[in-house]
Amino acid sequence: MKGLFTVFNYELNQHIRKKSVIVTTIVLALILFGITFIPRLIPLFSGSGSSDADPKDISYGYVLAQGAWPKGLEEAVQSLPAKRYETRSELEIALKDGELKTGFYLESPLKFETLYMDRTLYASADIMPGLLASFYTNSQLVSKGINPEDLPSILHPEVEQTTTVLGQDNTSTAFIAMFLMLIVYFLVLIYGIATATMVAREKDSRAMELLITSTSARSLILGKVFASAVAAIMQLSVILFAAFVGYQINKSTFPEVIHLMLSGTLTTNYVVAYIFYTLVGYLMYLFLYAALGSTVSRVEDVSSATAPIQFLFIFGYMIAAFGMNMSDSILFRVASIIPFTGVLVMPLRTALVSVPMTDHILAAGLMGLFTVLIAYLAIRIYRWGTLNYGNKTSLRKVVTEALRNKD
Amino acid sequence: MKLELKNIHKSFGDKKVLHGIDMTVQSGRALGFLGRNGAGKSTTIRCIMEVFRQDEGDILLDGQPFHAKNQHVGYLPEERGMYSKAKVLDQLVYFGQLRGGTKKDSKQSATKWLEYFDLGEWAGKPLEQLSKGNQQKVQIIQSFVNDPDLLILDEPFSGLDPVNAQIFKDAIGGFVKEGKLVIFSSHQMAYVEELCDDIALIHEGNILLDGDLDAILKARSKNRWVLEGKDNKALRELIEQNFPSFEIESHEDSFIVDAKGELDQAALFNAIANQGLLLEKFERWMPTLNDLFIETVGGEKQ
Repeated sequence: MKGLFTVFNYELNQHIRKKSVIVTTIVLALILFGITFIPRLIPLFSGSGSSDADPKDISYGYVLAQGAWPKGLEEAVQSLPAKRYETRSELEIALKDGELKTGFYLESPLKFETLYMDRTLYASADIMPGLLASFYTNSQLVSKGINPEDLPSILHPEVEQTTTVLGQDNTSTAFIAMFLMLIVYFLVLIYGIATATMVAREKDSRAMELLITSTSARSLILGKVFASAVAAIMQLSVILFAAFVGYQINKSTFPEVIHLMLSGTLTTNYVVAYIFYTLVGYLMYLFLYAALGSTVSRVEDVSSATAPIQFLFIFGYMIAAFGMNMSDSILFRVASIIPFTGVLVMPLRTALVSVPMTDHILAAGLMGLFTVLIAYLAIRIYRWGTLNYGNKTSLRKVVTEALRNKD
Repeated sequence: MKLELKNIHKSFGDKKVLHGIDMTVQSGRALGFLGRNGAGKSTTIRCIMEVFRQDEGDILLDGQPFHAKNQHVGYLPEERGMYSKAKVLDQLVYFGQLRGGTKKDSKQSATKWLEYFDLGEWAGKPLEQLSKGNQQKVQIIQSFVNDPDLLILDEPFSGLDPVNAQIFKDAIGGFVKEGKLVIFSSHQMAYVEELCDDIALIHEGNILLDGDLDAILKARSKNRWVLEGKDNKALRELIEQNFPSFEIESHEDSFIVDAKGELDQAALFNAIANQGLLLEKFERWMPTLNDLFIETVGGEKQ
């Protein structure tokens, strides 16, 4: 046990003292902290730019063609605000001189032409059809003895509605759950490779013989994997804490929908499932990576040795990602129970649908069992790999020999 | 302490590497473990250190089964390797702790040995920044940390310059004087001859010689004598005429006489005196360890 603590302390220290880890943690924490300020900063930037679509910032001009015009129409057009020109050529000169950005040549109460000098990407004359249509509708209503102010309540009567979701509300939980799943995805890939590399480097540098004669293979593998796990959790905690502090500071500026999403996702059920499956599944994958790292003699062989497990994990991610739209399918359910995919799928499934307790018991039991078995296998492979330098051996042969090995 | 290897056999697949190794090492007496490349030295040492488990045979310490991890052993493997990116002192303390020492004691001991080997200023530097020779010294230091009771060193002299080799020899001498049990393998016969009280010579997985070095050398001297006269030519002719059964071979400024049995010293001296020749040197010929090694394991191939 003492050996395990010694290995754990040493490896953890080596991890968290790495410059790359410190810099990455600080940068990610600052980015997430900064992101929480975005809702507060948005109002500072909105309204400062010019947009042709905003009637207050646009200089409009109009010309009324010859003929009889209904009473009140011109006042409505002027309220844009807009300036009247007597002839079409006067309107064109004003556009060419830059006095106006948009000009309207009104031929009748329901027909007009829009004139631009240069038509920009955002230029729009949407305001005029609405204005004319509204004026026409109101005139017709008045002529039929209906008060235009009553129209909205006639067309859109208020319908009272209440919604009761007996299980999980996908509409509010999917986004946050997906985000939290991505964290696990990157955690496993980044720290998994780091763990495999760490083990391979010991063989590469020939330090393994010294280690294996100083303490047990069990202490070495468990110490290394636990150190990797704790280092990742520490790094993640710092980053999420920065986001949490930022959220607390800017809480009031966040749209209501974000609060609803957070409160809808972070239920006790989900949090417990997320923490359990993430921690145990993460450990299981680290043991796998450590075992695969022991099978190679050179650091540069790590990526090829770990490729099968990378594919398996990415497959789990794909099921989780596609499962968002089929959360009650058999595939999604099976993937949530199989330990290798369950690490990503089960927390997501818990967020999206109501998962029966039997599924949780089965998934958690299998994951626990596989973690212990893979840890045992990793220890055997590590011990077997101590002095097996040279050509890369097939995984099947490695496992067979490691289990047979008596040393 | 007495470490005994009894009938150790080890095979790798179909290849039998050790064929019943018997060997004894006593504390306070350094054992030089000799053999040609591939003779089985490192395999034997790895069996002692439990890197491999022997197929057959026992390793006993004072009559009890020996388990390296339960004892305070300083080990220098043939395959040198430590963490290249980690700081020198940090990893020395780590290895000291792994072998059962406290952090404080390990640090104290590592610092002491770093100073001894003149590496104090490198304590806080990553190992990879040290020269190859200095890295070799750090490797040796890791085996010395926390004052081990048993020292098992596989080729400890390789990579050391003569000055550092002398510093290392002094350290080993200190361990032996303190009554520690010391085993080291080496190809440098002069170092072994200088440092070791006992030797074990392994060849193709068999121990050919084992025991007190002086006694082995004396036994190998047979009945051979070194003679040197004022007139070596006349002296040699005299011996050839009077003692035709003797074998004579030149040896530096003298010659060696193999009497092929007990030498009748009185008859030899009388013959020399009767001829009026002067004898300046007469002593029993003792082979060097190098002679012994070549004679024992080199002859077959030559």
